[in-house]
Amino acid sequence: MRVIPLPSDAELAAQTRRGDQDALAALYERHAAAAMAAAYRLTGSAHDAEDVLHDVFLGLPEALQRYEERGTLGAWIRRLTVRVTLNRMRAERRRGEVPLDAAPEPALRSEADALAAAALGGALASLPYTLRAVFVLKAVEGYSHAEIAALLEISVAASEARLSRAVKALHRLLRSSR
Amino acid sequence: MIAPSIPLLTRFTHPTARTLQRYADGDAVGRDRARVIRHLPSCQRCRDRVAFSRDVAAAARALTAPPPRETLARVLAERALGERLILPADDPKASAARRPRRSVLTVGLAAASALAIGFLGPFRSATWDDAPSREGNGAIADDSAPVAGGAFTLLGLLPSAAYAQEPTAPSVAEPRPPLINGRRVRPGRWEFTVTPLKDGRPSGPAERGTIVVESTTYLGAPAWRARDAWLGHPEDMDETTVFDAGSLRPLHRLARNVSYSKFTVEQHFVGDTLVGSMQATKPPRPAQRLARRLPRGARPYGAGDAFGLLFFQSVLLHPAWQGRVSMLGWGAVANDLYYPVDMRVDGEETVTVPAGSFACWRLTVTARGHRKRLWVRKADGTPIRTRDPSGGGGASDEVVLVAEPR
Repeated sequence: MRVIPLPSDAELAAQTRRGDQDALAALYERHAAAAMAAAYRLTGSAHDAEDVLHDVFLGLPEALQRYEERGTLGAWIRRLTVRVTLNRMRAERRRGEVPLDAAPEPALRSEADALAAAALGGALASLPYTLRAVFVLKAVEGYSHAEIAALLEISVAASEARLSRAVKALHRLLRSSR
Repeated sequence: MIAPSIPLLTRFTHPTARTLQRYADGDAVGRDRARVIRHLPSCQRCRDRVAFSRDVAAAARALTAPPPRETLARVLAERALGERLILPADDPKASAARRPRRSVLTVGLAAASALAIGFLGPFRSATWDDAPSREGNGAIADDSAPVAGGAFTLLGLLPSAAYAQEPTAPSVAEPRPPLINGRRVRPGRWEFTVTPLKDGRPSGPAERGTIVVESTTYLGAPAWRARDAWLGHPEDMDETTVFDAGSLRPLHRLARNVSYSKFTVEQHFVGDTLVGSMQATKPPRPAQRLARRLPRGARPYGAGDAFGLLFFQSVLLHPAWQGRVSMLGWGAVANDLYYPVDMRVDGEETVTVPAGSFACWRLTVTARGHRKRLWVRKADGTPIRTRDPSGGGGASDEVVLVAEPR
C-alpha cells in the first residue's frame, strides 16, 4: 500500500496564498481549534470567538502574504487571532458593547474535567477585560510583559500588576464556586 | 528554636504578590528569585500561591472549544463570492519594542477611484489604498464596478458613498449609538436643490431632487418607504429604500440607473446579512450576486440618499448631541460595504432658504476625515441646508430645502 504523505503547513500555506480553497479548508481543520480557543479565552464569549475565527480565516489567504515562515504556522495563526481579537474587543469597548454570552462550551473529557473546565471558563469570562486580556496573553499564549504592553498600549508595570490581580481574582472566583 | 541559617527578615516578610507571580511565570531573576527560593520552604501560603498560579495557567491553556463547522462553510462561500478581509499586520512578538498602530479592525481596503462629489456626499478622501485587482472569483472587481455615492449621490443628506470600512482612526471619540425613534418620521414629499458655489456664490446651474416618504408594510410589519430621485440629472438615478418603522433599520433597497453602466442594484437586509444582486444594463451583463456580513458592532446602519431625512426626524437633537451611523454601500466589492459617519451638534442658527426661515441646529458631519456642515430644523428634525466643501479654491456644494409637505 502506498502511503501518501499529508501536505506540510508550508505547502498548504503556499497553496492557500494562490487561492486554493481546499488548502484553506485543510488549514482550518488543522488550526481552527487552537485559534478558536485563543479567541474564546480572550473574549469569554463563544459567539464573539466564532466571529473572530470567521474573520481570521476569511482574511488568511491575503494575510499569508506576510508570513515569513519563522516559527510554526500554527503559532503565527494564533498570534494573528490574538491581534484580530484585541482589535475587535477594543472597538466593542469603545462602543460600550458587552458580549451576549459568557457561558463556555469546553471540549469535555470526563465529567470532573467538564465541571472544572466550566468553572474556570466561567471565572475567566467574568474577569474584567483588562485583567482577562493580560492573563490570557501571558499565562496561556506565552507573550512577555513587554509584548503585552505593546499590544494593549499599557506599561510593563501595569501588565504585571494586572496579571497579579487577575490571578488573585481567579483564586477568589474559583474558591467561591466550589 | 529558629534555625540560625534563615535570615530574620525572610522569615517574617513575604515577597510581594508581583514577585511571586514573576517567579511562578519563570520571569524572576537575581535577588528577587533568590529571595523567593529562600522563602518558600518556610511558607505554605506562598507555596500555595505559586502552585495556584501555575495550575490555573495550565488549566486555562487546556481550555478548548471545538470550532464550528458552519464557520468554514461560510468562509469558503464568501471567498467564492469575492469577499476579502485585510487583517492587522503588526506582530508584537516579532518586534516587541515597537508599539502597534492604534487601529480598529480593518475590514477591507479603501476603494480605488476618486468620486465625483454629489451635493452632500460622498466624502472625498486622498488616502484611499487601491487594491481592486486583488479581488476576483466573480466579484465585480474592475473599474466599472460602481461604489455607492459618486455623482449620483445627490440627495444624500448623509453621505451614502461607502468606501469600505473603518477609518484607521476614528474621526471623533467614539459616540454611543444614537437613540432612534422612527415613529417621529412624517410622510410626505420634500424638494431640494443642489447648487455649486465658488467663494460663496453660485458657479453653476442648480439641480433639483425629491424625497418621498410613505408609510407601508414589509413582510407584514410597519415600515417606511423612501424614494429619492433627481430630476433632469443626466444619470436619472432613483432609489427606493424600505426601513423598519421603529428602528429605521434598512430592510430593502432598489436603485436603478446607477453610474454610467446603468446598474440595477437590489439589496435585502436580513439579520446581519446583506444579500442581493447587481446587474449592469448598459451594456447588459450577467447579474452579480451580493452576499456580505454586516458587523454587529457597526450598527446602526443607514442606506440611501433619503436616510438622512428620516434619521434626523427620528432623533432628538440637543446642544451636546453626537452620534454615529454606518452608511451602507452597494457591497459588490468588499471595500464598498459601509463606512462610519460621525455627527455632532456644534451650534444654533436661524437659516433662510426658499422654503422659509427656520431655527436650526448646526451640525458637523464627518466621514473619513472629510467634513460637511448640516443645518437641521429644531422643530421636527427636517434637514434645511448642507454645505460641502467639495474641493479646494473656495468651491463647495450647497443643498437647500425648497418645498415640503404642508
